[in-house]
Amino acid sequence: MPRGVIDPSTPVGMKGFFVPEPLQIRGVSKTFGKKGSAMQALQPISLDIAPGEFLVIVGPSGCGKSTLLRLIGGLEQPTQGSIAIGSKQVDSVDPRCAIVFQEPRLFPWKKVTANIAVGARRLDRKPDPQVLVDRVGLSGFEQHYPNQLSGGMAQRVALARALIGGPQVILLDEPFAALDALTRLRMQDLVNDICGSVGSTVVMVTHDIDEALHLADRIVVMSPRPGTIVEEISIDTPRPRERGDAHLAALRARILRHFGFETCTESAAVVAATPADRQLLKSTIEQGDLSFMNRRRFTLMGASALGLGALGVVPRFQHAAAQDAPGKIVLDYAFYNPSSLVLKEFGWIEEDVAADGVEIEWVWSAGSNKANEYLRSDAVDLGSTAGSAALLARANGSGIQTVYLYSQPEWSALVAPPGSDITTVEGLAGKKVAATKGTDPYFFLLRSLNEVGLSGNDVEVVNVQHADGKTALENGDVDAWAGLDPYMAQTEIEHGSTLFHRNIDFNSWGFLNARTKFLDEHPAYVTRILVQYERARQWIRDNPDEASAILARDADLSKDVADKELFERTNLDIDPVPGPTQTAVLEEIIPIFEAEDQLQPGADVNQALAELFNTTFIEEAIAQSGAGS
Amino acid sequence: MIQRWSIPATENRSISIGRPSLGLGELLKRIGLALVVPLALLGIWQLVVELGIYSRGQLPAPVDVWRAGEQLWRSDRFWINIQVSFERVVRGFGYGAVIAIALGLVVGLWSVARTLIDPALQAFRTIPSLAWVPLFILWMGIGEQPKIMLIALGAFFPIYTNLVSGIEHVDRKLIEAAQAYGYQRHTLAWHVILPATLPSLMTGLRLGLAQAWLFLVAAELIGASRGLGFLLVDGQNSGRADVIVLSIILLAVVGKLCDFGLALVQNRLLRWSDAT
Repeated sequence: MPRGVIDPSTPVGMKGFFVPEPLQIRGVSKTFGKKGSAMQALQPISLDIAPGEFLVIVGPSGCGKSTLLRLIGGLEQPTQGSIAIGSKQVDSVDPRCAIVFQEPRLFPWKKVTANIAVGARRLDRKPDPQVLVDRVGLSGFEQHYPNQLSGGMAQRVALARALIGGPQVILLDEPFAALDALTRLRMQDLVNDICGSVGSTVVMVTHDIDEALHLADRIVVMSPRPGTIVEEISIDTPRPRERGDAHLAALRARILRHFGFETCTESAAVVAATPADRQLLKSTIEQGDLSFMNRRRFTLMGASALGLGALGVVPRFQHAAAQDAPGKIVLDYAFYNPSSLVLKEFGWIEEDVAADGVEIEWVWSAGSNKANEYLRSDAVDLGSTAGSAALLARANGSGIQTVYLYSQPEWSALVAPPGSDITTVEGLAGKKVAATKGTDPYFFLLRSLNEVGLSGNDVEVVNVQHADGKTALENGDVDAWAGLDPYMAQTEIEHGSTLFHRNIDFNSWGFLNARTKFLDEHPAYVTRILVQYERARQWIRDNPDEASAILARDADLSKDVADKELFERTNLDIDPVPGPTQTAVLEEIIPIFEAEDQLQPGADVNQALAELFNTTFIEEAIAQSGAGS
Repeated sequence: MIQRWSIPATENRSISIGRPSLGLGELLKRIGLALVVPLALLGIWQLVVELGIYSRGQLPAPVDVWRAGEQLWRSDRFWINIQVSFERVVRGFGYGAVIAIALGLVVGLWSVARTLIDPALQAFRTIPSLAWVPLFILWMGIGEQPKIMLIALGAFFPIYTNLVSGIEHVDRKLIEAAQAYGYQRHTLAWHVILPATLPSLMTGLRLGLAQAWLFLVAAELIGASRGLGFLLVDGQNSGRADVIVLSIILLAVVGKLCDFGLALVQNRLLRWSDAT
């Protein structure tokens, strides 16, 4: 019985939805690339394929046989000539054709049944995929994903996907090339069985001659690239065919002679081909469709976006080992410590220690919290803080001692924006207050709240660095600000903010602190630095306007603001030796530390206070200054 | 006459379906092994403290950190800090993801948009997160908005980049097969390219979430009064190394738990994928 007659017992869903029609290929050639680099893949070819015929194209790799198949399916357009199924030309992807590739090319996110249904998506009447599942022997695997299938099973799904739409032409592009030998034989039988019963025309490309002999009604042998037809062999051996059949063996030898001409090896073809053809070759060489899942590229964003620099850690300072003289001394300067600005300006300390080969480095402290952080990390040797901040740091394990008082400031107060209805500390209840935790203004805020029977829990403290607190206040992000000079003077003068609560006694003095290790190793230098500090303090008292100008320039302030800070809020006419006055101030703050969980569990704050002051150096410095003058 | 041949069933070898489920013993063993390195680190940490290489103020002992945790717990600020940070991360990540997916789709599927938008975005990507902080404060003050924006910014780029590159690297062969079965333009984009991109997108989302937690700390430098990043800065300001270490540990634990949650979603959505 001739092929192409639809078997009446074929189940619904596989029967051709198109009436089989002849496939005509008329003078079709294909050239890839543009003029100059053009590569001819196919010489003009003409072929007539009967309805229901099983045509197999064999040829060496790169001879253009896959190109021919893709031209039939409408995946490529011929450079010359035309292809028609019946009376209708193929001019784009043609729904009358279904294609099975060398790789299954299944949608990995669809289960077996859904993948098969893809083949019928263009039909109005959707056949039941289950029929095909059974037909290709995958019953029980309906709910599997492609990555759970073996290569042969996946290719069966691809076959079922091609069959479900009942296509007029089935195109098989080396569909079994990637399978192992045994699986390949089974698949050949399956194709033989199913395709015959469906009645579709089949065009198959292979380089397996035995496969061609087993399946074909007619074999077309192609020459190496640019391919053309060198022989057509009709096979009328009845099916099912014996694989060892003598007639087929003779045909096999005949075809192999053609392959004896083969000069077009895969590697040579890849080297010589244009990019377009290379892609084509590659697609026939590459195996396994699922490998694409592994090609994903991971783009790791710089996880270093939060560099340590952001947390204010500066490189650890290394002391030179030589005798008492350190290679370098790192000091801080701060806008709340006017003497430090003057020292930095005039370079008196540098002058004094230059002869010893000691270098001085200045690091800016934005607040007590920063100075303490640098002291803790050995990044500075001497740092300027408020008294409260120094005590807290010492209590929490920082190895520092206070060696000098640089001022009695009234640098902290509670500030409200102009027109605010907050005029008293009581008015802060439930409000948002900006403050820098671990600094004097913060403790000022807490003590002021305590004084009127409130606590830190009665307000929402927004933790920002001092300068940002001012911005937040002026932008209306917070209702009040525990301010610090010079920013406080600035917003007062330039923005009209009001200091609604002041109390100089809640300001805990300006402490210059040294690392105890530095005190032990370089005591002479501590004294010499303090001598210069005293000189600076005296100079400011003698030259207030010039000092104010330095502050204004360094902190980028207007002269008014600098004057206000220096003349109204900073008392430099003090005894620079830390002592009972400061102890009394700090004792008042201890309950605040305790109430606000500022202390590390087990920290002994009273002991820390008892050991905080080291007056040796300033007393020595005063003695030296006295002797020198 | 064509003879029907029975279809051999031998090829249907049994393949395990989905991920093998772990037995209890195996699970305990895995958890045990995963704890080896952290416990070893804990031991080294304790050892370094005992040796006194750093002062307690610089490197607190594990027990100090535990006590800091207790202190936090007693003051009822333990959960609130975690909750606030978690909410910020979720919101920031949410905004970042939505914008990244929208923009990634436009850029990935439309070549004009790619030429127009992608180079500029790539330039923005190289700006370190902290560089935005002063500007965000200027523009948006110090409330929740700049924090959420910063976290969104952090989450945006890994998601966007992975989505675009995922679309770019969808297997051409799969697309060709889809075209052969009639998928064109919109159907191709929605039914083929997008699902094929899902693994990349999920990877991007996980990286984005991790990035969101990284940016959280930077965000909470912007005047926060609660949150794990705030706790860190608070520890920094008050010289509480124990609190600093505690916040780092909490950030690591909460971040890991979030990633774990997303990994579960990923496994659920990508059961079909080899790559998870």
